[in-house]
Amino acid sequence: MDFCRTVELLYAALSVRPFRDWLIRIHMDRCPRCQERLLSREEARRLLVRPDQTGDAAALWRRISDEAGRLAPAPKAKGSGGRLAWQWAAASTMAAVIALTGFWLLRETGGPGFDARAVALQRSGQLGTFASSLGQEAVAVGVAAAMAEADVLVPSFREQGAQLWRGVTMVELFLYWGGDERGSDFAGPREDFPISVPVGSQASHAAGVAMAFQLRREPRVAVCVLGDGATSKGDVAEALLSITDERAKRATNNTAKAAYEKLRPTGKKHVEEAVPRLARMIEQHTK
Amino acid sequence: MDEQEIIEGCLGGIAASNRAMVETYGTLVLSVALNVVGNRQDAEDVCQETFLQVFRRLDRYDRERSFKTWLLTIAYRRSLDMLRKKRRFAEFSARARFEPAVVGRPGDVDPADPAPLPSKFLEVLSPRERTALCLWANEGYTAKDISEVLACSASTARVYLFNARRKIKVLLENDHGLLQNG
Repeated sequence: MDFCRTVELLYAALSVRPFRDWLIRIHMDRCPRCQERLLSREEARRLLVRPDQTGDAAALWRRISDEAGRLAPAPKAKGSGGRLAWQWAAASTMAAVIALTGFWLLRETGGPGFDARAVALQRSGQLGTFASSLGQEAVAVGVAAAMAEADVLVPSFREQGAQLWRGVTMVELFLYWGGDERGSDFAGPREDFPISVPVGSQASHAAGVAMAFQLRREPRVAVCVLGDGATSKGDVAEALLSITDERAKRATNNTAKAAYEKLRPTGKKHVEEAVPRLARMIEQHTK
Repeated sequence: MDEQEIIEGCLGGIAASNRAMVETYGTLVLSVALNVVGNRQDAEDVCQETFLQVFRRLDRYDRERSFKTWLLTIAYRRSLDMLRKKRRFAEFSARARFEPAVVGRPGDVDPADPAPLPSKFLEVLSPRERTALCLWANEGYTAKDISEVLACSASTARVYLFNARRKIKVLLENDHGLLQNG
């Protein structure tokens, strides 16, 4: 009995497969005491489902017959080897040609771009979210190209093109969209604002920056990018009016000041209505 | 119809031979599938897949080997596929994970249906161990025959069988009612 225990301990302690197999073959297969501690064939048969317990095989045939009837007769083994080899050869050649063409295309086009990669990462759950700018990259790049280095960009979430132009790195953009705020601490354009996701909220920030430039008398501009969705937002109208508010506050002409104050309460409503119309007008000219 | 006649008939696409094949080996394949996947509906699917694959691929059967072993190898692989499919599905349906493995549909029990397969049996043993135990107990297979079905060495098959027998014995000794109640 002690020997059996020793063998079992060794069995548990040793994970070396050949030795374990050897133990089973030499000792446990033959030792009557160890055999007693194993399930017997009869006990196993009582627990398991036996073929005679599974019911009528004719019912199985009824289930399979429809599908089986649709099968083409199995090809004879004789003589089919050569044809099969040809089919394999043809399939492999096709696969090789497709793969090579794919690689060549990838090399020629420089591979999938930033946008495509980011979308793929987002779809596979590796980026939290991502706003694709596919088809409107030129707008962002055009805006950035017209800016001076000292100007400040206040972007919405689709201006990757502008940000990349101004020196934000792809690593920073990936960090940001992956949920890491260190991605908003740009090493290149230090004064550019981080991406603003809520629609239109960046307009107030840009108005503030513009006002600061005005107060400091600095010859710089704050560039805010809005989509047509943002033009109907109250935030945008408020941001635009805040500029005129500031000017009215500093106005010396009392008559103009009084007139502005009288018109100001309805001003927001009018601006909110006018901005989308302005956007549509700009759109017509850009087509 | 003996085995050779059935195989020749199936190769020629004769429906009667296909039928004879299912009627001769159907219960055998179904019992293995039931013991591996643990419920009748899935086992019947496995059985159907197995026979369809046999009809399609009979030309690849090596006459030197035992037909029964070749058939059971396919049944075993299809059962593993089914378990894999179910595991993927279980991620979406947490309920399915805790459903006891029951042979047959509740409320619609055919008198020919066997008693429920103990759920502990499915938890404790791996699919390979279940297959090894089933072939050994029901078909009287030796470790070498089992190794052909499981595509492993004979000594590995022996370890699977040994582990399965030991685990179930321990279960039986510790809680006698456990296995009976399913």
